Amino acid sequence: MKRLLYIFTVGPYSNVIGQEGLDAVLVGAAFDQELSILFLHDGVFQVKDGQASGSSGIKQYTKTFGALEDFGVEKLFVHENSMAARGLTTSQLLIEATVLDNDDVAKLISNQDQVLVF
Amino acid sequence: MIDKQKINVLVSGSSHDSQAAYTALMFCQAAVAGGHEISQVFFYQAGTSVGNSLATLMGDEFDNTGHWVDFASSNQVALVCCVSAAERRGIISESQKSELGKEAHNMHPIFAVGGLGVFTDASLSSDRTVTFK
Repeated sequence: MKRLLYIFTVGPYSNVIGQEGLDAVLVGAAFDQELSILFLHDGVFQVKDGQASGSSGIKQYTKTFGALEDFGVEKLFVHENSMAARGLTTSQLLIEATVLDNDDVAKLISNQDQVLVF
Repeated sequence: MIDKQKINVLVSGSSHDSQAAYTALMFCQAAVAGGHEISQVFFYQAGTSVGNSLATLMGDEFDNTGHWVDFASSNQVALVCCVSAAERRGIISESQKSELGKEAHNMHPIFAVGGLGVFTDASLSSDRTVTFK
């Protein structure tokens, strides 16, 4: 079994990068590997709750992040400084995520077999 | 000297609105020259625009598609365009054209059309994946 890390670095609903990154995660989940997801920089906005995307012209895919456990993806991480810089706390997220500081992020990345950045 | 690596490449940045495809090409050329193997280059998201053979450049501009085609044919490297990302952006192969009932196709024939499973497979069988976004 290999360890795959998917990193989301941009916010949702101004492009389809997050939606297509999520598609990559869902396909990866079908391969029975050890998947982790890290939300970094503006990527933390992907998992902010209470999003009303109705007027953006992009389908509301972000709620699927909240259902990743059903796909066997349970290792979800957010970067502490990215959250703080954007005034976000874990209570505002639609997922249960582990908060990682800079050193933890470095460790997480170095522990992976493959890192995919979106 | 680094041991020979099997490298899976992901290009997700647009052909001309980002430097991703150009930088990825320079990386792949250097990797092959250094004795490494490129297992596959997967064009995803806006990177699928590299497959568009209708892109028309001024004479002094860098033709990403043309240079990728040259690289792939001289080094037998597989170029794969993600089917769903390409269709979403109107990059259509000849077979997709018939399948989808479209009036035209524009994907260069050297590109294979594949799903994210093809990418994940290549990722799992390579030493590393390098992303250009």
